[in-house]
Amino acid sequence: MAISVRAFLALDLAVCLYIVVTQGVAAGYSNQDSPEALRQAIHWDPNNPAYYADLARLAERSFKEGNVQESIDLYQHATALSPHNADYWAALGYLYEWDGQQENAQAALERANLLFPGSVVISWKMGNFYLRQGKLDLAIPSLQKAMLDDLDLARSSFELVWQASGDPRLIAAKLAPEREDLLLAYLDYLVTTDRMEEAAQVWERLVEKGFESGPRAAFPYLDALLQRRQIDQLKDAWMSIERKNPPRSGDRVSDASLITNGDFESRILDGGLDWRISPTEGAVVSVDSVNFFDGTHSLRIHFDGKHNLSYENIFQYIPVKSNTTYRFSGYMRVQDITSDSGLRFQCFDADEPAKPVFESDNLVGSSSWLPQQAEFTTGPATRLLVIRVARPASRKFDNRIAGTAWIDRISLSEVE
Amino acid sequence: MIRKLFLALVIVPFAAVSASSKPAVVGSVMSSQAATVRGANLVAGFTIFSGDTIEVGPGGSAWIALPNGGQVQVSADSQVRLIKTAEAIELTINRGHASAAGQVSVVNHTSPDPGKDKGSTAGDDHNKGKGGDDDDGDCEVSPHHKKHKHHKGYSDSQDHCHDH
Repeated sequence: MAISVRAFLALDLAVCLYIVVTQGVAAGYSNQDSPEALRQAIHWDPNNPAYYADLARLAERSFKEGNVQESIDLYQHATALSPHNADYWAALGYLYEWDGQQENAQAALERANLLFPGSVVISWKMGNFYLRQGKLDLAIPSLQKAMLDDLDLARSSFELVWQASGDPRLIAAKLAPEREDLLLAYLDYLVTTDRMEEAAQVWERLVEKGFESGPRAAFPYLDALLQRRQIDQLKDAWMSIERKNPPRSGDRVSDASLITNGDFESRILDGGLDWRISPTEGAVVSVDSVNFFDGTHSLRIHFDGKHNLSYENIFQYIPVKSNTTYRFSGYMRVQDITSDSGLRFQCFDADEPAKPVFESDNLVGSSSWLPQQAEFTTGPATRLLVIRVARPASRKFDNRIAGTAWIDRISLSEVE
Repeated sequence: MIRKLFLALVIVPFAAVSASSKPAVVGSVMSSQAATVRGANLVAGFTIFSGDTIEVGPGGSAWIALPNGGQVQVSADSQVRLIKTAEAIELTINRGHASAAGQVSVVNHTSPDPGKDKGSTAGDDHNKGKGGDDDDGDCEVSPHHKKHKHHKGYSDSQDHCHDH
C-alpha cells in the first residue's frame, strides 16, 4: 500500500515537474519575441493560446503575402483554446475581414462584442466594420458607444459617418447624443470642416438644451462666425451665452452700450465678444481692485521699461450697424509712462485695421482719470469694429516704455 | 503676435471644404502612431475611404489593411493618398516613404533622381527573397510620374517608381 502511494506521488511529481519544465522552456522562448522562438514555445506548450496569438501578430506584421491565412489559423487555435477571450475574437474578426471572409468576420466581431460589451476598442472596431460593410444602422450605435466612453473618438466617429453617409441630419439625430460635451465635439468638428450651416443647427440645439458648459466652450464657434463675418449669428450666439451667464450689473456702462464688461467688474473671458488680452513680454495686464474710476475694478497695464513695445494687445470685437453714428467713451489714467509714445484708445473696422476710425489722446507721464470721447459714423460696409488699447512703438532714441496705465468705464453707444 | 491674431481672425479667409459624395471604402487601419486623416487621428480600426490623404508625422507610422490581404505601410514624415480605381488601389506617395503589397498601384511623387527611373525594376534587391513581384517590365512612365502595378506582389516605393 505504502509503495503504491509512493509510486503514485512520484509519478504525480514527475508529471508536475514535466509541466513546469515545458511551460518554463516555452515561456523562455516566448520572451524572445521572434517567429521561430514562438513556434518553439508552441511546440513546448501547445495549450497556451497566448503563443498562437503572439505568433499571429508577428506573422501579420511581416510584410509578405499569405500571412493573413497563417494568422487566421493561429487565431483560430487561440480562440479554440481560449474561447472567452474577446481580444482574440476581435483580432480574428479583423483578419477574416482582411481576407475577404465577411460573414466569418462579422460573427467573430459580434462574439468579441458579446464577450466584452464594455470594451471601447471592440465597439469602435465593430462600428468601423459595419461602416465598411455599408451597414450604417448597425455602425452608428457601436461608434456612439465607443465615443461615449472615449471622447477622443468623437471627431473620428463624426468624420467617418459623414464620409459614409454625407447626411448631417443622420449624425445629428442618431450619432450625436443628447450629451453636451459630445454635441460640443460635434460643433467643433463642423466648425473645423467649415460646415457652418450644420454648426448653426447644433448650436441651436445646445442653446435649447441649456448650454451649461460656459462661454469658453463656445469660443471656437464664435471665432468661426467672426472669421466668416456672420455677424448676426455671432450677436445671437453671444446673447444666448449672456442670457445663460448674465453679466454682473454694471458690466455694461449703460444699457445702450455695446461694450462687454466695459467696467471690468466681471472676469475677463479672453474670447468671444468680451475683452481679449494677448500676453507679451514687457507688459503685465491685471484687474485692479484698488485703483478704479467706477464700480470696484479697472484694468491695469504695467510696462517694465525694457522694451520699445508696439502694443495692441487688449481689444474687443463689437458688432455694429453700417452707416450709423456711434459715441465712444472711456476713462484712462497713467502714471510715470515714459517715452513720447504713450497709451490711447483706438477703434477701427475689423476689415481695415490700418485705418482707425478714431484714436484718443496720447497719454504720457502721469495723469488723473481722464475721459476720452469720440463720435464717428461707420462706413457702408462696416459690420464689425475693434476697440483696443494701443501704444505705437516710439521712433525716438529714448523709446522704452515704463509706467502704468489704467482703463475703466468704456462704452460705445449708437447716437439716436 | 497681435497682428497674427488679427490675420487669423480678421483677414485670412477660410478655405472652403466642399461636401463630398459618398466615397468607396479602401481599407482599415491596423495600427498607427502620430498619423492623421482628414484632421482626425488615425487609430486602429479607422476606415480609410477612397481619396483619403494619410499624414504621418515624425516618429510615426501607419499600417493599413487593404482588401484580400493587401496592405500599405507608411513611414514617418510621409504623406500618401489612396484612391480606389476599377482595377486596383492607387497609392500616391506625396512625401516620404511607403510600402505596399497586394493589388496596389504605386505612384511616387517624391524622388528627385530621374536617373533611377530608367533602371528601376520591380526586382530590386529589396524585393528579392520576399516572395515579391519580380516581373520587371510593368513600371510605367508618364511625363508626370511613373506607375508600377503590383498584382499580389511586394513593392517598396523607394526602390521602384520615381518621379521625373
